[in-house]
Amino acid sequence: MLYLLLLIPALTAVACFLPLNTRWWERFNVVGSILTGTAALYISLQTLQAGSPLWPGRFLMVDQLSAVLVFIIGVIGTICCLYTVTYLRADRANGEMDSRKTGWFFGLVQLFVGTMYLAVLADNLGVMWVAIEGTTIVSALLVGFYGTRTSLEAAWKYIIICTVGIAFAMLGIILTFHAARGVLGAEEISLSWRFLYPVASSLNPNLMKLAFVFVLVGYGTKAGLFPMHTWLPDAHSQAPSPVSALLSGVLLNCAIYAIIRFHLLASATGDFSGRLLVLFGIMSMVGALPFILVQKDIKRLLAYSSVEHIGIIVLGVGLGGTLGYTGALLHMVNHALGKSVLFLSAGTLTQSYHSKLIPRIKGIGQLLPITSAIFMASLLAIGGSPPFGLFISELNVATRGFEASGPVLGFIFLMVVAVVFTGMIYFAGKMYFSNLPSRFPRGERFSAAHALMLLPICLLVLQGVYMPGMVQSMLSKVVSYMIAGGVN
Amino acid sequence: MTEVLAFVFLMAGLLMLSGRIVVKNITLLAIQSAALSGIAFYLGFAGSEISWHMMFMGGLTLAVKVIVLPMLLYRTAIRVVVYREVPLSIGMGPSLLIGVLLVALTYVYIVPVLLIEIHSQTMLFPVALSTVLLGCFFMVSRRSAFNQIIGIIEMENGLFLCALAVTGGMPLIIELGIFFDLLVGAIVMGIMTHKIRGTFDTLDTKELSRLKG
Repeated sequence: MLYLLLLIPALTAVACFLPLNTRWWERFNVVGSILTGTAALYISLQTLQAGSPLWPGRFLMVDQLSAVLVFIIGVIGTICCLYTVTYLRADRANGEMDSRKTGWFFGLVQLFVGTMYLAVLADNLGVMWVAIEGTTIVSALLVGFYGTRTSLEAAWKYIIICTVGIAFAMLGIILTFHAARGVLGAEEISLSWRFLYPVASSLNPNLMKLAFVFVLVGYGTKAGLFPMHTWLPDAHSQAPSPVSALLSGVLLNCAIYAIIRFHLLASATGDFSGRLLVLFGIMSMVGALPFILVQKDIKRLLAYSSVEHIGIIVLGVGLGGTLGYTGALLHMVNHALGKSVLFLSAGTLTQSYHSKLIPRIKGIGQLLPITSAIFMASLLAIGGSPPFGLFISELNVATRGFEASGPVLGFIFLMVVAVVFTGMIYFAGKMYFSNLPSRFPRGERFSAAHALMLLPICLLVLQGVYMPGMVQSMLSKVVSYMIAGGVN
Repeated sequence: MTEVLAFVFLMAGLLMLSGRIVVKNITLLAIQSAALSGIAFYLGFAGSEISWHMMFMGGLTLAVKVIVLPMLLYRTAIRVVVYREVPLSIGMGPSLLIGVLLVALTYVYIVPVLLIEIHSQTMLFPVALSTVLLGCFFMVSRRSAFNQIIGIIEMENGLFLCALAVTGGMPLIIELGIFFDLLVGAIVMGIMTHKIRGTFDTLDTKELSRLKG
């Protein structure tokens, strides 16, 4: 069952690499991504409902925690893959992309999604590492796809920084293997999450501390935690918008998922890892703040906002407890939903204005009434205002912050969130409440792309207004699984 | 025996810091990888019974890191590297000095104090760890996109030896995955240097600094 999630994207990618014409590539892409999405939703909902790991295989497994990630990739990945069709049509119409290259683009996006599935389904620390390195290689090609000076620069920085970073994560994995070998033996099961969690408390605590530091540096680079985030704004701003949405909404979450897994392992023998995560979380939030306030490039603005939100998630995980984990998990889902829509709608805006600079993008409400309404709604959502789900998840993390670590942390958290909100609204106001230069034609029709972007927004509103009982019970199952340290 | 090979391994890493000629660096990298595969072969034979895992890894290292990758790098270098001498961000003398200091730091501080928990009898572990650091520094000290690929492979060599020294080798399937990643990664990076060369007319990373803030 789980192999389906790897097989369908791989086959779709192969089909898209065939030398046919654009119409066929589009069809393959649409069918492939819908099939993958359906399978992903089925797998994740089944697992979440059962509340226990399902389909355990030799290398793949899905438990409650990875089911959340499979859900995120299933929803966002499918939406982004489908949106790619419209995006590339507009790009071809603008003459920015050669129509012969579109097949490659579709194929690489499918491969990218496939490697991310592998990363979250891997039961093995090593396979997970290989998959995450694989995402870097594939997505670097996508970041540099336009082949312009700036996009090549961004892609090069991205692949080099992340490859070097992830090498340190390998050191962490070697140390974990060293620690687990004495307990479980030198076979593959010493690297399997399923077998590691029950014996987590008997691993050498000092070794696990060291391993966690290396892993945090390695996967933290990929997740865009503050001092290691330097590749993130470049790659996010230069990549084609559907790829930016995938990078920000899904890929960062995959890296965080890896960190959470190691945190569950390391926290069985002390709270060192939790404190380290709190530190990095706060640093990312505060560190991203000045860049958000002085930003001129719309996509860089969104990228730095991702750094801030990653900080919130990591902070919630580090604080732990029911509230902390609930907040972090919800925030992971919500940020993925909100940020990907934001990137997609911003992509439509930058395509119509032929510019990414905020001062150039004026009067979006007059030019593209529907897209800009979606853009503003998702911006409010990402800013953390009610009635969107992010308000609730941020509130959870903030409450846990006050509760677990005192008023200073809680105060810093709320201040950063408030200032970021102000900054984002200021820029959005400039773009929305201004007059359109007269050279643009006005108005647009409602299209399938809009429907795609509205879906996540609806989910966010639903969650902020009324959380169905079924979702709540699923979530509490995941959280208790995490509190128990990954053991059922 | 392993001591001699480890010495060759480490010296190749250090000598890479002292050379500015790209082809020479590739040769040194191949020598380093050859030493690595020698260590794996030796460990495979040395035990009471032959360890096929080690033999296989040694063979794979020989095939991928000594033959295929250096050849690919060499062919790419001929096409994309415009300068014979790589532009440096840190002078030749100081960079060699820093390299020696990094090795000393590993031997005196990192292994015996920071990583005291790792009980590794052989001298392979400090060699491996200093090679990881040397690879890292090699990437920083050269202002050339092409040399960054060489640095990454050097780091991988260090990591591989690390796994060998600390755990006696990771499970086979993982090692295979890492090899695959390295190979594909190096090819993709090679393609990208090609594109960068075409767009920027140089591989000097000084030019790759437009995106800021």
